[in-house]
Amino acid sequence: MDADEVLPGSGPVLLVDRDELVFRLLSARFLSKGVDLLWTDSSTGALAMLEAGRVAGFPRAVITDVALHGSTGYEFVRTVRASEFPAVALIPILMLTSRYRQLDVDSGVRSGIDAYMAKPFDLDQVEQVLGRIINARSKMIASAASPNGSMP
Amino acid sequence: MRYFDALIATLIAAIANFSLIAYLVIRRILVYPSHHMLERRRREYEERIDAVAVSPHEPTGDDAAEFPTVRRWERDLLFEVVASRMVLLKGRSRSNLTRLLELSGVIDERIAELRTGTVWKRRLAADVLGRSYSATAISPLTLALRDTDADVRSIAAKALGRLDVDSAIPYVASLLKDIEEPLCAAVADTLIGFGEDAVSDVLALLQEDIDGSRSAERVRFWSVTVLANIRRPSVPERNRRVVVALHNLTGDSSMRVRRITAVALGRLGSSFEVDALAKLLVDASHEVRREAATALGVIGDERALEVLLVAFEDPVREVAIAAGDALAEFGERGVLMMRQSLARRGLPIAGSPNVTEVNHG
Repeated sequence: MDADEVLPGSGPVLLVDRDELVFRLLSARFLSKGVDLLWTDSSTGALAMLEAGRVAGFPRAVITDVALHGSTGYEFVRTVRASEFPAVALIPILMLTSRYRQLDVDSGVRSGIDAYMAKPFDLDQVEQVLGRIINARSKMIASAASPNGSMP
Repeated sequence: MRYFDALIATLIAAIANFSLIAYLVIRRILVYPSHHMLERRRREYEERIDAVAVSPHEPTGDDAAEFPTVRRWERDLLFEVVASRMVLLKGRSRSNLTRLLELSGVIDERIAELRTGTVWKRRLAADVLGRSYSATAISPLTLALRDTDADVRSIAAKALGRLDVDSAIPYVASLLKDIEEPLCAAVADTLIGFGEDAVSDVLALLQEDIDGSRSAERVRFWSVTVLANIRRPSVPERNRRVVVALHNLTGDSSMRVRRITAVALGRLGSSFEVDALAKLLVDASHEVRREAATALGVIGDERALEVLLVAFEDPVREVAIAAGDALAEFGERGVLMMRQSLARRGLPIAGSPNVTEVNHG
């Protein structure tokens, strides 16, 4: 994805991270592309925001750290994936964290994330990866919704 | 007359005091900002710096001119805010911020301080230059590796490691020869950060030892520590040279050198290391024997079974435990050998009736 390209999907992106600086940097980047970034530093806050999405509209994607207030990022992702609402359970999730050991990546993948990125991060790369996972999820949902498809 | 003199003296003292206080107040106002002003400026900087970081274009002189950096505290604040973002960013965003620091004069100022400042200013400058990720800092930081102050040299080495400048590796490696022990860990960390590219220069330090101009024990210890943490070099010739150097060190006079050599041999992880580790398994120091046993378990070569069984009967409990753990790595065969050893010595075996733990004598 080029710097001028638009992030696919609609609605804001939800960031779950304890570091306000991450929010500031991602927010500045997304705002320049016309995408709102919602921010919370806790898993409970994030789950409440996702729940509220039923009324206000669901985010197009979630970016989460591992170290959160409330619970770990892995537990948060597992809870999201177990949601009874398909729009929440199938939301694209990018894990953005300073933990980069294979063990951490494996834990993230097992919890149900779509992509894993280590901090420090490249803003261009974050946007590219986010674009890719949003597109991949959209295709998956579209094929599941087709007559021959089946929901995962 | 005497009262008049006293009055004059008192007046002069009062004027001097007043002047001093006025000077300090004016200096405080001119040099240091108020808390309110500092916070206001910080907010301004944060907004503008975030915009520079996310911009698809490299900042220009005009962009830098938007940041008021006439006073020293403003330049310090600019660096502080930029550095807090650089920790999180890489790629184009980080390059933009580095360029901003270069254009605003922060880098040039610190380079000048690194060359001619006081010891404290040189230490701070080396740290700031490392965190700036600026290529213009490479040459001055490399020169700083020969600074008269050991802390400046150590901080410069760390800074060069952060900048990932391969050309600095020989200088950084040679620091192990002339800095104090407490600073060696920082230099070793930097060399480990360089990875495989540092192997040749570290081996050169050990080569001096082989040539007869015996290097200090400290140099040998930290050199092997670096090799142990870089692990197996992917270039076969380089790997062979590491193996030769480590084999030579198995007979080193220093216990901690032999111990870290055992760790390094284990991390190389090939069957070639079994003989060298078997030699360390009968070392006079139990710490060396313990590391050798652990390393042999990691390598998992069956030629090590017999020597590990001997180590399993070592009088020092922690060596016996390490050897037992290593034998367990071989599965059924290793466990059977341990059971036979315990039975032969008339010692209780875990899992037998009325026995809850293995006693290693």
